[in-house]
Amino acid sequence: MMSYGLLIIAIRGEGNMKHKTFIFSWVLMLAISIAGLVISPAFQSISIPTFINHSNDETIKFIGSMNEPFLFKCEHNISFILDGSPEGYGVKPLIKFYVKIRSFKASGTLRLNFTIYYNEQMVMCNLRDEVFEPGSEVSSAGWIAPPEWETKIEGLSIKHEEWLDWRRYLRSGENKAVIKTTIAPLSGEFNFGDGEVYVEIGPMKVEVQSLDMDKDGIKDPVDALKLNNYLFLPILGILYAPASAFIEYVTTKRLKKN
Amino acid sequence: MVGNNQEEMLKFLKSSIMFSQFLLIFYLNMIAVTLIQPVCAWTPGQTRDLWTPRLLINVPYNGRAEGESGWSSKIRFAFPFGVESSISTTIALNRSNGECSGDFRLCRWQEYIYGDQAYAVKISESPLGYIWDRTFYIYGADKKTCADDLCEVNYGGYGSVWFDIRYKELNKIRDTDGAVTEHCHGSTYAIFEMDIKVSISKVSVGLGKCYWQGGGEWDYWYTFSGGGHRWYIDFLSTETPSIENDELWAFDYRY
Repeated sequence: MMSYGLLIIAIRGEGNMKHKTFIFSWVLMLAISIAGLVISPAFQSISIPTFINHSNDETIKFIGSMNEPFLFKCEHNISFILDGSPEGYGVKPLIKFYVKIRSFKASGTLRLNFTIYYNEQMVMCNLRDEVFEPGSEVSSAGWIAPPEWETKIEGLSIKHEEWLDWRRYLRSGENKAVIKTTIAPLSGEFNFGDGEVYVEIGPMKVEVQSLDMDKDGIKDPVDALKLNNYLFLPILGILYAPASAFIEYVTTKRLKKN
Repeated sequence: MVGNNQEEMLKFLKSSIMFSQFLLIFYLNMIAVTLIQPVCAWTPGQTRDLWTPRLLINVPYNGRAEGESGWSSKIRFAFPFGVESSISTTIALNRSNGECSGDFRLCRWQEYIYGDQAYAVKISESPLGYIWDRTFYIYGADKKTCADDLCEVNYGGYGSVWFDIRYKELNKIRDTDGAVTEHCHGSTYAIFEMDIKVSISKVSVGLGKCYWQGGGEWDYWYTFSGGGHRWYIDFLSTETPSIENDELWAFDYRY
């Protein structure tokens, strides 16, 4: 934007169009940049959906007696495709759980272990301890989800979205998210006795969101620049001014030689 | 003539480089001023891993309670001078017969010192490299009253942030002939408030408030058994107490 000043100086020159080569090369370079950095990615960006929800509706149930040790394991998985740069996506895996413990004499802690994998690489482990006493009936339910939180100090706001850190485990094309669940009494804290445990695991969801981290309206999977494209264009315009002046210098020199 | 032209071209080249450098510095400076926020003047202190509540539930003796947070719900821990931390929650708990409980997550808190005051912000929800959630019973010696509820919990060598959802004052009397369920729903406002104290070191203690974050959805269902019983109810709010804008209640079972 600033280099328009230099352009105007060049145009004013002595009468009309003194630095034609300068102006032509500057405008050409800038036009190519606009096409490459804004117009083309903006068109590609339209074809990338902002949000897709993949789901695996399978709900796995388990009923266990608390009179003897038990171990319950299950696995949910979802495959999904990412077009363009995988770093440009926020992928959030979630799984629903329901645990009901009805105890007459048993007491202790039931440990639920949810481990999330992207393409066979572990990304998160969430332990959940359900504590119960003899003669109680307790139930817990909810979604196991990546942490999301904000911190503010003196007007400075820091937003943490854990799943954004997991983008490095994703790849372009087909990806697979797996959630492995293990449920077992927490050894050393469990007194076996009359009682039963009922567990439901699932459905699982994978929310795929195409990001626009630099807030330039061009979705990151097709945005080659990590910097905001519109903020970067004036920098290019400024840098193209000496480049165009050099082109004009070389061209004039060669023409003079010939 | 040729020499003059070349000299003029070189001058143009040099001036274009100088001009572009000036513009570049000016432009980057403008962006920096506009986009980069001032660096925080707070001095970071110690860190501590503490069990942090995500859902708390008081349960009437001789009754049941179910608490549920909506999809986008967050608990906000607010200290003076704009220090604030939040924790997201998608949890439901169901408990009975005075077994007041809470769902907690082990979080890392960072102490910040401002003058002679200390405050704390939550900086991690997986301080051990994994997320660790745990349900705790928080009822005191007598299940019949929430007046002696615990204000902190301990497990695995970790303490908790200090919270207070004890029964303090009578806002409502509930008598039952038959079983009654009351549904309390909150959505947009900072409805429930409690003191929250984060003690990072022995010297410094931060004292703040805990809110249900505006925009979140919170539901509590309280079931009172029939048969001629009476409970005293505390709405636990510092705002105008009413059934419409208070979810978290505390109970004192009378008979």
